[in-house]
Amino acid sequence: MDRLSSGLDARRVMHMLSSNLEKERQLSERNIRLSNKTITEQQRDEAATWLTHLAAQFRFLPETCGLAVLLMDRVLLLVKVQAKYLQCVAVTCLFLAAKSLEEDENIPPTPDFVRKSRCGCSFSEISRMEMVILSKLDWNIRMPSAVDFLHTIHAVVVLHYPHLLSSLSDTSPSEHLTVVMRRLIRCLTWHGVLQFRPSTVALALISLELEQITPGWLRLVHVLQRMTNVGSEQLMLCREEIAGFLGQQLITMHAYRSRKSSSSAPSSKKRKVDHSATPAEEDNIYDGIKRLYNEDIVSVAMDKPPLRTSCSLEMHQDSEENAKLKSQTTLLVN
Amino acid sequence: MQKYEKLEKIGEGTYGTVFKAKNRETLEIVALKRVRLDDDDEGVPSSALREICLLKELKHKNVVRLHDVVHSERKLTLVFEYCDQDLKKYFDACNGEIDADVVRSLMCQLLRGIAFCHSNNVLHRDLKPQNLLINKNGELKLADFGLARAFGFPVRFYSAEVVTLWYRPPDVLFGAKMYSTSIDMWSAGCIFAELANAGRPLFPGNDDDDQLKRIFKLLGTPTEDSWPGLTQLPNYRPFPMYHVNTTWQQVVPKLNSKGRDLLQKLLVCYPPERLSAEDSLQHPYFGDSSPGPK
Repeated sequence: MDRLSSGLDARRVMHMLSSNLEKERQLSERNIRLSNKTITEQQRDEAATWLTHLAAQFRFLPETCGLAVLLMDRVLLLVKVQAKYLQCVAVTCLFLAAKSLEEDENIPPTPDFVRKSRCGCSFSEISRMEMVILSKLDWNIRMPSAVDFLHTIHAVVVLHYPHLLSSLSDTSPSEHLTVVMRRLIRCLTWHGVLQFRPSTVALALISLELEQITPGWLRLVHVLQRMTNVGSEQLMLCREEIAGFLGQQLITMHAYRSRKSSSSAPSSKKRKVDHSATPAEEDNIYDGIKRLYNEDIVSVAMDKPPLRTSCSLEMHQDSEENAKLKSQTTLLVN
Repeated sequence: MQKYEKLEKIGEGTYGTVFKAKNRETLEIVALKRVRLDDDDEGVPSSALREICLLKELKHKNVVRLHDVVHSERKLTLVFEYCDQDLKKYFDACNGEIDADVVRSLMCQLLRGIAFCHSNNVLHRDLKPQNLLINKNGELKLADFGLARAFGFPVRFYSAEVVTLWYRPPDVLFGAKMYSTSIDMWSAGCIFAELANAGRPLFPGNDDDDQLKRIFKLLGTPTEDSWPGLTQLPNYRPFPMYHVNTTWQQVVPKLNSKGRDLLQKLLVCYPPERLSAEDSLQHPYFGDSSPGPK
């Protein structure tokens, strides 16, 4: 199976993977631990968490969310940002990511964007920040994020090892991708992964998944490592970082849940973001990806009104997810 | 903007005025696209942002080159390489006659430009004669990437509000949102026929319905058999079953049989069966030695 009727074929996936890797290599100097001492790691994580919540609230694509966080980290690396401007930098990065990746009809009108984000800055401040960021980055804002790498690496697995994910009795490949994507978006809010390239983060997360699914995971991960040029040492370090974070987050999440708190991250107490997804919306995200992987019989049907794969869904934490995560992290921590 | 001396206004792009200008130091002639930032409230317009970000990466002989972006108080100036005219003006000046070799060369360059964009995962989404520039050496370049976007995996639902009516494919006319590179290939087919007919548009429809009727009268009305999923499209509505009584010979009389074959392979209603840019370039129409330099 090297081609699906959705037009997804192995050659295209490999082409996209290698062009993203090449772009990442060109930008690789960014993968340094946060050097900007004016912003603490905790402040950065708070801002990143806030961004992922905002992206969910605006129903942006996961790739928009991934790019926004990547842009913010890039800016923090290149510019000495004072803490009081961090929120303005963050929201401007989201605005830029949305304008470059979302269709115009999915971007809220600017006044709405400013008001609903509750970013505390005016539009003219965002506008000025936008020009500062664009000139600092020399307009190079098309950067492959870990979200893009997760999409391509997951597609490689589905195309080359179709039996692997179909053997999961209760989860289809598209549902599987959705679950892993939620986990990835959570990882992006953790400064610990900043030292790794986005491709390494995506591969590390996938390798943790594969370990759960198949006893032959190590061989498979070696193949994926060769495709992505991710070294074993980096991969192992990144796996540990992610496993540690997800495990720790699980404990925090449970603590919050038991206090009947909302699922918004501990640090962003200023804002309450609505994360509830209706069952109909749950269908939507599966729908888009299902078609990609031909799980949908009428795979060419394009029948529904504006279907959005919303970031909120890929980040939405349901109890089933927690249970899965728990069993997994127990294994990982041991 | 002291660096450039403005010479004359060339036209209006999707989001700004275009001027011909001269670099005072190098004397190089350039095109300046000026984007005003004051009277709208979206900051840098998304179309300008996408055009700049995409063109910074798309460096190819058949794609207009973006030299520089200059930001000054309340305006943004994009500095492009200068081309003498666009294909629309070229048509107006050709007196209903374009040499067969020139048609082939321009079509080949158009396909090379498209193939390059597609291999860089970019959809143009607004290919039409006005957006194809031609310089004095007869080189054709894709321009105006204001509606362009990057595409990736998974296949997403994109906007159906794209491509100028006459060059818009039937799937998008029916409201399809899950399209890919095939969207540009339909436009390429329409432009090919227009080239072959020295500037007479192939499907000059007045509205969506008229556009679809013109298409189906030439190609036959598609059915669920010829186009699986057709009736599920968001804006699908039934059309009369037109009996095709026009031959391709009548449609493009000056085009040779190989050219007609290529045209038919581009103008296919069912998107997955439309020929790709890369495959089009391998078509016998371009012969063993493709015209024009690589």
